[in-house]
Amino acid sequence: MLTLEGAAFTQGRSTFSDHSKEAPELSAKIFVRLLVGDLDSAVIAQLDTGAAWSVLEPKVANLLGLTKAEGFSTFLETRFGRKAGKLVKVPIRFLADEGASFETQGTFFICSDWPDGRTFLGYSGLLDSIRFAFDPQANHFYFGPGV
Amino acid sequence: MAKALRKPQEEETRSYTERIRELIEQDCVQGARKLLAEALERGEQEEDFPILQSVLGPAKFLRFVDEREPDRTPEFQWLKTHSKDYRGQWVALAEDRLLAHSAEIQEVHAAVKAMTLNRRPLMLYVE
Repeated sequence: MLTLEGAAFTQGRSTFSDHSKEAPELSAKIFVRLLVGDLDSAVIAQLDTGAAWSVLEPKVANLLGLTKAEGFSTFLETRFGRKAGKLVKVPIRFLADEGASFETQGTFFICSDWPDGRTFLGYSGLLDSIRFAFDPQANHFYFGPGV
Repeated sequence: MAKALRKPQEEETRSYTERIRELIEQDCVQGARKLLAEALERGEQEEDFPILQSVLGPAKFLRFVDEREPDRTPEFQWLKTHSKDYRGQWVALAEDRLLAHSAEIQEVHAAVKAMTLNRRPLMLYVE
């Protein structure tokens, strides 16, 4: 899909939303659609390169049995305060409108005391391992595995 | 003659896991990765090292999938019009159809799983 010096840079493209009725904030945010684990339905996640970790909202985590999965227990300082939870590897699929969707296994923080519907894709163990680019005029999100 | 005051370096008594946890809590992910690498290089063994190697490591590419996400304009249009009626609930949508809704995600998931659909639903929580 995108090339860099003649070589493929990313393989998939999706259209992102830059606002959400579910996260009523004034500034624009980037929301992408993905599959989590073996869930049949697509869900929405906010891309946040400034967040150290990705966070999977607890109801989805519970539905997938991830609250009982092996993980590393820790506290994190978050936008919703200091939270106890654990870091867990979670398989996700970036869904492409064009090109190839791809699956990767990223690290997510799972915390029972977290607002419903708020899944974030953060930097460590996820975005730092993939290639991505944006076209903000077209609301296009380009993505592919890192090398 | 007075001796120069020099504070002896404090010996680290905490385990690597405790120190790595502290770095993670401070969002010092690179520091946590370095400390784990140092521990492994020294041949240290602690119970949490395997899981730390996993969660501190890079995302693991699994595979490409030949699947296209459909245009979700109808779903977002439905949300724009109807979301106020479903606050505090999970909804599953396919095009402009509401497939299921409930405060319990399990109920929505089960309802959708029982349907035969030619379009992958979009499931989200309406605040």
